[in-house]
Amino acid sequence: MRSGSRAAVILLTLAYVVLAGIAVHDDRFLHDEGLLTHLLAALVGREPAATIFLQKARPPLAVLYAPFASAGLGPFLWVHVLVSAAAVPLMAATARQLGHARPELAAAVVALSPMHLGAGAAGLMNADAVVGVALVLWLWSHARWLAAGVVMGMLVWVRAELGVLALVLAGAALLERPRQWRAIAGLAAFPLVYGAAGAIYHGDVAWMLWFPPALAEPMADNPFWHTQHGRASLPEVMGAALAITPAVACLGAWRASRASAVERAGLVFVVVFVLALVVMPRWRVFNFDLSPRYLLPVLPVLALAAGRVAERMGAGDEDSSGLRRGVGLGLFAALAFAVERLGGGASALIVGALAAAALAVGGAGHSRLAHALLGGLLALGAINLGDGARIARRQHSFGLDNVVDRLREHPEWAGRPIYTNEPLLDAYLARSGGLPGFTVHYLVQADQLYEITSLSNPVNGQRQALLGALRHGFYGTPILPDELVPEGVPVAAIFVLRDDARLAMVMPPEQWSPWLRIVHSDPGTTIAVRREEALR
Amino acid sequence: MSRWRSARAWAPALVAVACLLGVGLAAIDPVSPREADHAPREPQVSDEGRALLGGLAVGERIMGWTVHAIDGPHEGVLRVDVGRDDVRFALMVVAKGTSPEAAPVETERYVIFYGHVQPPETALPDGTIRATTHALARRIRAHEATVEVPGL
Repeated sequence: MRSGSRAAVILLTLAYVVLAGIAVHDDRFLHDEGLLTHLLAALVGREPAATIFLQKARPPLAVLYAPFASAGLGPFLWVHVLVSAAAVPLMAATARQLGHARPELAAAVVALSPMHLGAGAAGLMNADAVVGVALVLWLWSHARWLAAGVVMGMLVWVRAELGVLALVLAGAALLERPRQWRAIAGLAAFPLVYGAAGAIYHGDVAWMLWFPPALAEPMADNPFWHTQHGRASLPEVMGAALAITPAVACLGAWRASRASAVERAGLVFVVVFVLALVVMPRWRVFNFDLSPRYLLPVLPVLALAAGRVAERMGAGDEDSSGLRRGVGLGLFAALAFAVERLGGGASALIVGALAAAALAVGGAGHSRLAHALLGGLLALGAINLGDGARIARRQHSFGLDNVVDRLREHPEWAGRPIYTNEPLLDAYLARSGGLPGFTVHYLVQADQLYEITSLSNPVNGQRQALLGALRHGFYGTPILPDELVPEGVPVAAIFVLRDDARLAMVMPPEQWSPWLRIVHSDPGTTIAVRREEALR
Repeated sequence: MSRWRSARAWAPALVAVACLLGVGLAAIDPVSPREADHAPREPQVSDEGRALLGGLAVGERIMGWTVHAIDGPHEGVLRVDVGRDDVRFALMVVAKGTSPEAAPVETERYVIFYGHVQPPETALPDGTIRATTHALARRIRAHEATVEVPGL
């Protein structure tokens, strides 16, 4: 790699760490799934075997982060940012190996991805999936088939949807001449070793089938799914795509004939993966909803494609490729226009204009200006296009700041226990440091308990061990549904209840209404105090 | 300058111009932003919607419940928010045949649902739903033959 490229990659990696680190510091992306990553890592320390042989625990990640979990949420999030940042130099190395003239371009796409920045700062496993995919591509580009297979086989236990990439890798290995059976062996390695060790622990060879990584279908009568129609709109998909990288706007100019076999196979993965994740929620298979973050693992492949387009923005080629390029960009522009007319805003049109302008000035021979425009587009995305990821705290827990303000208004409440179904409240109070003295009891929802119990083994004691380990902390001090009765809650205890259709399953209104005095009812959140006696 | 005659320059430039025209159109003829679907909106009722409800206005009472807001039709729903003490809920009027659920009350052309109870765990007093939905239905029956409500 040229020294200029190397310096650029180092700077980009540092930029990622700084931007994500700032977000960690101000809790902008505090997310319950990120807290879950930390919790699962902490569980390895409390009940190692029970956690490692719970497929739902994403064992490779739980073990990776276990040494840092006991240090607390803050240090864990910082380690997570550093791990997520590893995707940046990995992409540069992969691009260089695949013959990119400017490998730092692919690295820039990853470093400035709004969704990857947010996911890294939030502690989301989707950012780890990006690092994993980048590592697989790096190994694949170096023809290290066995290692690529091993890592890929492990990644399926980090994010199950990455099974699509495992199939693509297997297909590519079998199409290669001579056939690369080592990749197939590698893919089988982790499942075989993990499955065999688990068979000893569970005392059952077929344990992976009985206790899968996710529920095959949601809990019956879970009202959460009544509010999920499972149909993604074009503005939502466009918002997610721009949040992954605004460089998608220039991908219409990508040409398969100029890409390597790894990049072409990667694009097959992207198409199948996106189609599967956009369509699957309609049938509620494996509990997939329409969270845009599930799409994030396509980022490394898109980065390579964008890097290819960017390095060929010059005026050297024949005119016919210019027309093709115009048609490709025009397709994005048409989609952007449709998104705007559907109420999705003009962001995609602005991104399309910038991307097309970059390619236009590049085609006119002004490569430096073209790259500057592209860099501006990526920087603009990092700052402004994150909303499509829907992982910012203000998007999913918008009432949290208001709750803290309300609690501050009542100094007489200091020291009282708080009961809540808001998973972020305990962590947010602890990290904001402004309201000491509260003990937060998290009301474990019926579907959460159902998932833990359904996916763990009651016969060998795994289920009991996990439930016991969760007592030490699960979004606060956990209260299981069957333990939650009005008579069991101290008089004057505070209830912070966010709007959630599932709440009625653990707090039936007819049972709880007489016991609660509503103190504040804000949009999305209610604060109540437990009465001394029930109203008659 | 001659390089701009190459399709590699002018074709993307045309697309850039088209996108900018789209941005201009968005500024001249804005479509409600997507966030508007999720963020709280200022309740607004059309004249026809209000006429269908017999001129119902904010502050009036329906069977002891005060009307706090009237909104719509929005996405095919005419919504009336009512409240008493610290409890609120909404009555929703939709056209018959547009919703699979059974409604508590129906008129010749419309059905009336209820929901959005605030605070969420609140149990409404006995008979509230029956009384309020029937009261609203009486108003609608008196006007539905003569009032056409666009969007409902």
